[in-house]
Amino acid sequence: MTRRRFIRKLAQICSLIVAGASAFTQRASAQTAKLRKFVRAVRAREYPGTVKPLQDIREPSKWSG
Amino acid sequence: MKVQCELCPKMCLIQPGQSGECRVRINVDGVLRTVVYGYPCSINIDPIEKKPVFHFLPGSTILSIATVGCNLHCKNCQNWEISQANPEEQDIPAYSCPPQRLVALTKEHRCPSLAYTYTDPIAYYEYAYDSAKLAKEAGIRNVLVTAGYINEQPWKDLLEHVDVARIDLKALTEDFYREVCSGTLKPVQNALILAKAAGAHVEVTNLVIPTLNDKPEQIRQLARWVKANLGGETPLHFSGFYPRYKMLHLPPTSLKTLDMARQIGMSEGLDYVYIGNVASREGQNTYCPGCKKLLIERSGYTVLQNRIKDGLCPDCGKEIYGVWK
Repeated sequence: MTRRRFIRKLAQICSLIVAGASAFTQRASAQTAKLRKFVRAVRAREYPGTVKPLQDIREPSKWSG
Repeated sequence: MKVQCELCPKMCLIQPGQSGECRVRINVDGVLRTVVYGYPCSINIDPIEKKPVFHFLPGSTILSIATVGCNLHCKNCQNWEISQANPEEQDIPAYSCPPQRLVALTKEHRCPSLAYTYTDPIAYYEYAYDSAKLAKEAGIRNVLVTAGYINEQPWKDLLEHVDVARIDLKALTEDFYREVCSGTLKPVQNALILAKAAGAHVEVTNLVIPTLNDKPEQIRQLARWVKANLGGETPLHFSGFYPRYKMLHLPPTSLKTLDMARQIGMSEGLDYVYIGNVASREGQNTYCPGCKKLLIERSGYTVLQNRIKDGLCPDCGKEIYGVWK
């Protein structure tokens, strides 16, 4: 391997390490989340699907649970 | 800008315009938004026994809600049509029902409690939280039916308003949670322990799936864990599996297997072990752990008789774990 190829390879490896480390630091783990206050999601302005008027709710649901 | 949702152990890092794994928590211009807040896709009045919850106001009705979405993707999901749906799907309409209206409906129909169920309320956390808080202030009790896959801080916050936590313990191996549910076991165990420690009434359900978690030793380990960590008084429900969603190749759980699970649970020192999703009168009844006499007789979701008086066995006076009034 020539010195130039070696330096190029080394630069590639270093940039991969930097990219990996930056992705890792962006993504907090469940353990770090434990240490800070939970931030709630904000209510969306509108429902993206179909909204219907409420129907008779007295019958048990067809869903399990 | 990406946002990270810190609600559940998946800790989704969400790109602008995208949703987390639950499909209902989205990144809108760098702000995490919940699109299902106030929009349940199911509102029904069920018997409490359907949850199943057997040691909390037996024979009462419970207003039950769900929105679409779930943070787990269990291959055996019985409600996958709503749990794995996107809110945009046209064939699953939602109803506009903000927390105030939900509480009013519960009162109007004289239901003593409100259930967050069918799909996992963790996915609609903020809606469940605000509704539970409001319901509690109005004297309505809150029942959470969940897989317990949530981070510690939001779980503790929610538990402040929860009276009953009916939590699935799907198996006692990381492999099962990873391969069948796309989750992990440890957070669920933690959620169970925290719920009990917070003073919520806890009942555990285990869906017994042929070939996956139905071996006597697997059931024994699960029963031992429940006894050691939640106490022998914690009701444990072994439910029968039916082929659904991505598990159409497996047969339904036999009554024999469920009976075996119940026997193992009782032999491990659990006081109240039930079987569900199949017709079995004995497996649905409550017996006194002291004198073994029948306390609550059930048939399906109907309570035929309830002999518990002030939380005690009328025959031997033993205190029966639960909320009875």
